[in-house]
Amino acid sequence: MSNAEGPFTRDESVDKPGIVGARWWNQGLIDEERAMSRRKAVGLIAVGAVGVAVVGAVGVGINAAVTSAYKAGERVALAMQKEFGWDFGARTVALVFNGSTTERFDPKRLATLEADLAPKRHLPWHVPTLLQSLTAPSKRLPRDTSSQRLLPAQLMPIQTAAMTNAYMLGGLIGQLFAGRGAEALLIVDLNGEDSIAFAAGAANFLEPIFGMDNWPHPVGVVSSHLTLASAAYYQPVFAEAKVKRPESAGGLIVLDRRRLSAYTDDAKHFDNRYLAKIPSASALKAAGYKRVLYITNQSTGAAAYELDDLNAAFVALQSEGVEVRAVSLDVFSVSSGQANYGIGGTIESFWRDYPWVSTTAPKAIVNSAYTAYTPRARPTAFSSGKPANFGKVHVVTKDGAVAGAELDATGPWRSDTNYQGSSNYMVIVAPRRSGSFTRSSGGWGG
Amino acid sequence: MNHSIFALELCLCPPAGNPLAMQLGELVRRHPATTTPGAKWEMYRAARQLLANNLGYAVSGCWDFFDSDAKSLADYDMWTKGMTTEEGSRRSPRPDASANNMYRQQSEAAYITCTMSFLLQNGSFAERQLNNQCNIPDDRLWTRATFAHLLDKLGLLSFAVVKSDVFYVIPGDDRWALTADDMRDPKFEYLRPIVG
Repeated sequence: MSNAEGPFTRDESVDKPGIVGARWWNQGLIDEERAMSRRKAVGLIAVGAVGVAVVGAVGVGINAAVTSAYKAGERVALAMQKEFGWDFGARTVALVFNGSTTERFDPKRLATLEADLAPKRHLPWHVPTLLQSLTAPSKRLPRDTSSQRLLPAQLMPIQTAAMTNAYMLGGLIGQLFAGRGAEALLIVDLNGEDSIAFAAGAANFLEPIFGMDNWPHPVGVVSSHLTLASAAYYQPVFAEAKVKRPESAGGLIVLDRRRLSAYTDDAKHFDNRYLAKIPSASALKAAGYKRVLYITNQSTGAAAYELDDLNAAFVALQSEGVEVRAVSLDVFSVSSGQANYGIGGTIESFWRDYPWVSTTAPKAIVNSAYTAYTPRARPTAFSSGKPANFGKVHVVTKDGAVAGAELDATGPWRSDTNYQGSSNYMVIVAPRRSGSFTRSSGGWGG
Repeated sequence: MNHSIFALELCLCPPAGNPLAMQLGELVRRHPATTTPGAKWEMYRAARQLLANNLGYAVSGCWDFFDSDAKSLADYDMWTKGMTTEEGSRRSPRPDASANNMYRQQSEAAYITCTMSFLLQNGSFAERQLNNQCNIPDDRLWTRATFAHLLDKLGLLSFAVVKSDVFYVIPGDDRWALTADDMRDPKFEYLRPIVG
């Protein structure tokens, strides 16, 4: 591989059995340094009444005032992705997938993923943002000459053991509710890829309503690419079920519980978190629903109550006459080909604890933390709406226009000595020596 | 221009057949004589990834960040001499390496070292960010987690503020990997045992 473009030039190299190495010099930086030295030598710099010489920023030239053309700012993360690309600020970072499948995959079918997964009866409640990331166009940053990576080319379908289990449970629950007149809207809130698998398992019986309101990002706080990869894997299932499913099928809102992943503002991650959207009580009633069943999985560490962004909505539903209940998936199991609920019960025993459908099944033993759940108002980070820095990304602007994401290691502002950066990223510490006394502390020789 | 310096050296003892030394050496051999800051960043990203993936085999190392101009220039010259004088490398193949024995015995440990040093533009945004990341408490200076942290945070460095970089690997040929006896030489005393 050769690259005639500088400015780095190699001046030393060794390639021997004992050692291989090389040294390069940045000729561009050296030339800038020489130019600054020449200007100082001929006394071209004088600032203010006292005539104090000021050295300007490299690459910016000699300025009278020590300021940078680059300014720190903050923008809505999703807006930046829609404007400048899904991988804004991390164009060279690859997506990492945690599962794999050996089944044949045709990337071309991703072009219809959004359409295949779009609901019919519950379309007004559908949030297609994540699915649209595959086909949405975006423009480039000025001076950005890097190759644009199209998201569909980066995506690969995944399959994990947890997804397989969720798919099975989705089928169980879907069959349990199908045609029973429970008048319940289901909400599944697992890790994104598992929620998708659950919805795929239930797709013949319940219409999935997707609620992922973000785009994936290579260093995103929310690993939405896994959710998308799961959707890609189950796309044929969703497409087929959409045709076969009865028009009157009940709804299943599909959420990613990683949407509120813990995040401390830092230079390494992209804040693609988002809040879930739930229909209002009036909308639910108008659609024929009397109740909501919130589905999580306690064995994965979920607490026996809703995620913080749902608390206010669930409390409001309850107060306006829509019953809100919760269930953990770990109370369902399959043994000897038979589906069960709790200990000592059949799958029908579910209706003994959630009496929306009459049953003669025996009462099962289950953890009452879930069966006793009702939404209670509690203080959360979202009690007064979305926090100010939620879903935001630090950007660098120049002349009022976005020049890039501050987490971009190759951004031109990094060579600007006057750029101050975001206060969150630049914890200024007193200059200090770190590390060891190295080889310079002792004599050494060949 | 004032200078800062960041340097890191790792000594690893991977198992027989591990291609780490060859892979690191190839990064240098294939990197062009003239190149761009972006390509430089990619080369070091690959190096960092290789080292991070093999950090479990690291036995000793050292690292520095200095922001004194004179110290930075002097130390950078010292790190360069470590390569040009071939001070740390063997003068002959390992005793257990021969034409009929391309692979060392399982019981014979083989050590490799990887050294990288960067002469930086003091006061630049990227340099200050790296300085910040090197603020490691004294009781954690030589932990494996610290080396993992530094390898990771080196990704924040823009090569637009790197005035010079030197990168070298011992050995260039697996048969010249360092032995345990070699590592006991006083010239390697500056390498600190890695803990954790």
